[in-house]
Formats: sequence, structure tokens, C-alpha cells
Amino acid sequence: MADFILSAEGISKKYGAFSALTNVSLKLKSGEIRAVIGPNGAGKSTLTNVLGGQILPTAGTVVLDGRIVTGLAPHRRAGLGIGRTFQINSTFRHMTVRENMLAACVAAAGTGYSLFSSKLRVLDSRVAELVDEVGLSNISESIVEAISHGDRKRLELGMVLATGPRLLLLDEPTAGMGLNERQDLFKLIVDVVKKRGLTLMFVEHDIDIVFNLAERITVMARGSVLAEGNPDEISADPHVQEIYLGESVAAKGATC
Amino acid sequence: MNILVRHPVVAGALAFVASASILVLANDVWLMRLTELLIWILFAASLNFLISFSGMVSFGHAAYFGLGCYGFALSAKAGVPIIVAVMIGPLVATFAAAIYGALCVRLNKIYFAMLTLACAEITYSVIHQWYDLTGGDTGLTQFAPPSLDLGARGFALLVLACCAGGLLVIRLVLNAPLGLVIRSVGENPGRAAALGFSQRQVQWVAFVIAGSLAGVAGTLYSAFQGNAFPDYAGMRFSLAPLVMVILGGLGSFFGPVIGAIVEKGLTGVLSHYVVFWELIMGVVVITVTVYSPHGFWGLIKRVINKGAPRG
Amino acid sequence: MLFVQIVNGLMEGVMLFMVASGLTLIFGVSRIVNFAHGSFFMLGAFLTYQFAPHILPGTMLGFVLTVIMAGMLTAFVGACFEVIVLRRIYHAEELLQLIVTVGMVMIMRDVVRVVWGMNDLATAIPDAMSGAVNVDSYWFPIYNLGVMGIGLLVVVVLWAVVRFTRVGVLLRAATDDRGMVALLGINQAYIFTGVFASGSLLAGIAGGLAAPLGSINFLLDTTVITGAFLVVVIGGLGSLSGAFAAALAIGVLKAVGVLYFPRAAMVTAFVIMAIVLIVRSFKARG
Repeated sequence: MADFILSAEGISKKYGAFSALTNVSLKLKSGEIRAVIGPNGAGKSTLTNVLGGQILPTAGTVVLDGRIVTGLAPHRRAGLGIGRTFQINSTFRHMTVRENMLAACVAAAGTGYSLFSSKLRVLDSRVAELVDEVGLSNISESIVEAISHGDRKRLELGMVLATGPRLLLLDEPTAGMGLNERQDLFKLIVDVVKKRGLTLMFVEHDIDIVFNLAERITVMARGSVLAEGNPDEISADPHVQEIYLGESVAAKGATC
Repeated sequence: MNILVRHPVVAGALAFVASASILVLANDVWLMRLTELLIWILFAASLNFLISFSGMVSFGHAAYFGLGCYGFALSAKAGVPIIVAVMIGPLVATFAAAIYGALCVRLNKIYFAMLTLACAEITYSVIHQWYDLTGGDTGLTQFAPPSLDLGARGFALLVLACCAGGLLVIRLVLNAPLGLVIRSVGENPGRAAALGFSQRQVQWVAFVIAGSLAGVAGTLYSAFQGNAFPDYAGMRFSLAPLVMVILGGLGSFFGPVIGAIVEKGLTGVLSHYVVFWELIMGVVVITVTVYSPHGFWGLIKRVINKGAPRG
Repeated sequence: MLFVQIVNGLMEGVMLFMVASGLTLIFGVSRIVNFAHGSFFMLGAFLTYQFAPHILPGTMLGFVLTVIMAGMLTAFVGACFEVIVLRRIYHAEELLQLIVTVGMVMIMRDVVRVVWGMNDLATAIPDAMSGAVNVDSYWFPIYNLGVMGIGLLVVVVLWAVVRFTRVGVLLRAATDDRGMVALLGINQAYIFTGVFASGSLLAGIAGGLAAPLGSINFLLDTTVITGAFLVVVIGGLGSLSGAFAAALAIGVLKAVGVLYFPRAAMVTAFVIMAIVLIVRSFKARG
């Protein structure tokens, strides 16, 4: 069982009387691509935040590579190989694309407290490479505030990759993007994940994308895990069809 | 103009030489004015580093200015050689910033501001109440020779060197990885933490840098005025550089330089001609804040950019 | 002595609350930290000084009318400031909002300085309220007790308004969630102006009541605002009941502190403020 890169057991999160998560368990195998789906308010973002360290759970443990990280601050987890993006796009808006990527590379290089600007110059080629990899080299000197929403999402992905993670937690990486843009970005994400042998967990609303890309799917509702399995199992699961997915996916499952 | 914009080192060196020549040529009255102005520029720049680049708005920056004053004044009074005393001032300020900072950076936004205010008020009250040591309200005087025995012109040049040195330190930090990280945390602490930067640590480092530069400014001010009063750590001295930073324009390196010049210049001119000068300053501050958050430096930059088409 | 000082402390606490309540009310609804709040207090004091000799001087009624008038005028100035300036920057960064109120501090200070000069002024306690009463062999000035009474009356009125009236419901809704007010179909601008004016009214009245107790000068603004921040932060920004408890506690602490550790009273108050903030920061995560 040692090949689980991340496992969360019995996670609960309460805000006063309100339970955002109730006894959620989730195990990610090294190298797998996992989607988390569920209606609004199901607790997907809360779960991602618990795994990333942005939120402390009320109960339960998070284990990364056999090491308990439940109470560890986000920046420490980043150091251990968890890279994540946020539901609301989160970049440094008043800096250029290149500076954003540079900040991520400095984080990876661990030279954040250095006073020598030469430490920045040695990162130039790596920065250029990453900017190119996410397809932004033509706008690398633009201020982030001025670039398109989709490009910001790409930048965010690039910044996460720069920190050299082994596990990616992406919270709605394509939220607010057009259909074509969305598919392009997911293609990029999957290429990168495969090429680098990363583990990926993503939260997504677009069912087509989820069923096309994910190897396993976790369905959440009202703060609990409703079902888990590969796409075929999920689309065949009567509970899921009934409570969340509706008939469109059942029909889709039939055509597969 | 283009050359200056592209080669900041050349521009900086030119500005330094120009300022030094002005100080050498200035008459006594102007020498005093410019010396004071330079001290304010350094003080405002240290606060601007905190606000514009580290994303921390301090209501109590005067604490470190005031401790710079008293650190210098008290040690000089105790008979410590002047050359050592001028080092002790900034050291005391740095030490205080390290302690207060460790507490303050735990809080965000308005709560951070309120805690810096509390720290400054604690400092002010202690200085104010500890008569035996500080003389309380009557302050301290005659602890060091006027102009540190350098003569008015020599002292002015020393102040210029310190001010330029302070600005250079800020510039170097901003150009270094540390500066990039400080800006990152200032802009988006959550993102920076997800990348692996410790928000608290980074903010603490920025806080200490800003505090120690304010301490240098305080020490110079105390030597310049030849006195030290509790007010130097009080709220008025916390608000004054804040006003300068805003007048100059948020988010820029040169903002506080312009802001201090505008503030001191306007105050000087207005108070000479009208009774209502502070009222006018208040109106100017409000107008700039509401209509031009990038301040006077923003206006200047717009003019420069129009003059030299970008390529 | 201790008993006397506790009573004095409670009185000062009531005064502190009157100032701080306006500040915390304004913050609760509009999220603006109003640095000019102390200036409104100062204006109330100077206006009381100005009107007192002209409105039934020496009588209780005259004094009350004077203070109310000073308070209303202060409220008017506050409302103008809100409408002309603050309204334009509700959506701007906190820092900019703050700086605008600092600008207002400069303006008010200058008006006061030019109109009334830089010397300390004093206004007399109305004859009807001079003298002292004897309680258990201690003498208490009638005026101070009267101020405490008026202060407590204000507290009760404020509490009743917030608790039982439609305005109070709106106020609490706006403090909890600004979007709520829009949902209730109320013009948000009226609420903001109303709250700012009420806050200024409280500051002005407090200034007026405090006028006969000490010297009136142009430095009052910063002394008062630091005290008000102290109360508001310790009580919890935006909380009226918290501000009331904090104001009484600080009033008593200062008054009693003067007896036992005269030099450390102010420091202690700010240390408490710092501790409250730091403790809150530890609770914040998790």
C-alpha cells in the first residue's frame, strides 16, 4: 500500500454548526489522474484546501508519502511536493508574466532570502523554458492584469510546475474559460502530467472533460464521498445518476 | 530622457552628483531646508518600502524613527563617542522592529495597522513617562555637538550620503530575489505561500529593513535638530510620512522622494503666504487620494512617457 | 480613594464609550477607519465653548441645548464630508480611505487653529451643575455625575435603537453583510451617510460634554482618536457592546492605575490592546 502518494482519512471540517466535510477519505495512487466532482457546496474546494494546507480540518489525518502533514502550513507542504492552483485565479497581478514565473522558480531554487540579483539571472533560461511550455512566451513581458483569463490560468499552472511538485491539486483549473480554451488547457495539463510522471487531482464541473481524462473519479455531495471508481463504474452507479449526474451521463455511459 | 529611464544606475549617479553640488552651493537657509528634506525622504522611503512593496500599511512607523532619535541621543548623552552613538540609534530601532515586527506580521490589513499603532503608542508612552531617563516632555538637548562637528555643509553631505545609501539598499533589495519574494507576498500572500514562501518570515524581514532605515532617519533627525522629543515617536510623526507616500504615489520607488519634496515644498511655500496652509494641504491630500492614487510621481511619469515614445 | 477613582474611572469610561461608539458604528457599517473621529470630538468641544455664553448661560437647559447644537453641527460637517469625499472611495483600498480621513484631520485642525487660536481655552461648568454631593464622606462633583448620567442615557438610547427599531435592524444587517442592505431594497448611500452623521453626532456631543472638564485645544484630535482606537480594538472592531465593556474597563484602569502605577497606566492600556490583537491572531488560523 506504500504506493499511495497522498491519503486522507476521516477528514471532517465544521464551521460552528455547519459541517463542510464529514468523514471524508481519499487515497491517491502515485501517477494517477483523479477528478473530484459534485454539485455546488459539496465540499470539493474545502477538501482541496485541507489537502493543500490552507484549511485545518476539525478531525482526520492527511498523510503525504507516509508522513503525517495534517497540521503543516501550506508553504511547508509546497516544499514536500504538493503544488496547487486555486478556484479563483491566483497570480501576482501587478507583476509581469516573467516575474510571476521567476518568483515561482526562486521558490523552487530556495534562494528567496538571497540579496544577490545574480541568483535571479541563473534562473532566466529555466523561466523562459517554463513560460514557453505553457504557451506564453509571446506575452512574457505583459503585466498579468492585462492578459486574458485563460492565459492567467496557464501562467498559474506554469508557476505550480516551476516548484517541481509530484502531486498537483487543481481547483477548477478552467473555471470561467470558453469551451475551446478549456480543452486546450486540459490537453496541456495532461501532457505535462504524463511527461513528468506527476499525480493529478482536479476539481471540475465539465462532465465531458472529467469522463474523458480522469482515470478515477470521486463524487462528493453535501460534504461526504458519495462514490468512487473509474469512469465506467461512476456512470453506471445508480446513486450517482439519481442524485447528481442525471440522465445525460447515463445515456453517455450506454454509448461507451 | 530615454537614456535615464533605461540606465537607472546612470540616472541615480547623476542625481547624486547633482544633489551634492546643490548642497555645496546652497546658502545657509537652503542648506538647512534641504538637509531636513533629505531626512524626510529617507523616512518616507522606508515606509513606502513597507506599504508599496510589502503590502503592509503601518500606522506606527514613527516608533522606529523615535527610537533612532533616542538611541542616539541617550547614548551620546551617556558619553559614548559620537561615531558609536550614531550606530546605536539605528541598532536600537532595528532591534525594536525585530521584536514588534515578529508580533505585527501575525496580523493582516487593518489589524496589522492597529497593532503597529499600539506598538508605537507603547513606545511613545514609555519615552514620555520615563522622566529619569528621557526627560519626558521636556525632551533631551545638548547631547551632541551641533551638526556632529562636521559643519552645516559637511553634515548635509553626510545626510545626503545616508539618504542615497538608504535608497540604494531598497533598490538592491528590490532587484534581488528577496525583493521579488517580498513583492510576491505583498501582492498575494496565499499564492506566495502555495509556492513555498513563508508569509510571516518574509514580511518580518521587510518590516525589519524598513524599521532600521527609519532608525537611520531618526538618528539623523535628532542630530540635525539637536534634540529628541517623545513626539518623534508619536502619531503625528507616523502620519507625516504616510501623507508623503500618498502624495508621491503608491507602488513606485521614486514616489516617496517626490512626495516628500511636494509635501515639504508646499508646506513651506503655503505657510509663508497663507494662514490656512494646513487646510490647503488637507484638501490636496484628499484630492490626490481620490483622483490620482498614483500621486505626483504618477503624473510625472505620464509626462515623461508622452515625451519619449516607447519602443 | 480607590472608591472615588473607580467612580471617576467609570465616568471616563462612559465618555470614552460615547466617542468610541461612533467610531465602531462607522467601521461596522462602512469598513472605514475614521481617523477624523477625534477631530469631530474636538469640533464639538470648540463649538460648545463658542455657543455656551449665548444660549441661556449658566442654566442646565442652556447647556444641554448648547451641547445638542454643537453635536448637530458636528454631525452636519460629518455628513458633508461623507457625501462630498468618502462616497467616492468606498470601493478603493483601505489605505486610501484612511488617508482621506487623515486629510480631514488636517483640514479640521487648521480650521480650529485659525478660528480659535492655538491657546488652551476653557468653558465653565453651568452654575446649575456646579458643586458637589457627599456620598459616604467622599465628594463627587455634580457635573461629573451629570455627564455620567447623560452618557448612560445615550448608551441606553443607542442600545434601544439598535435593538428595537427598523433602523437598528438595517444597521445590524449592514454590519453583518453589506449585500443584505441592497437586498432589503434600501438605498445604501442613505445608510452610510446616516451612520457617518450619527457617529459624528456622538463624537460632537461627547466633545461638548467634555468641554467644561478640561482645557480645549487643537491637540485634542490625536489624543482622543488614540483613546478611541484603543477602546474599539479591545472591544472588537464593529461591536458596540464590546466597546462599552472595553471603555468602562479602560476608564477604570486608567483612573485606578493613576493611584498605584501612575506612569504605567497608558502603557498598560496599549499593552492590553496589543495582547488582545495578538491573541486574536492565534485564534484566527484553524
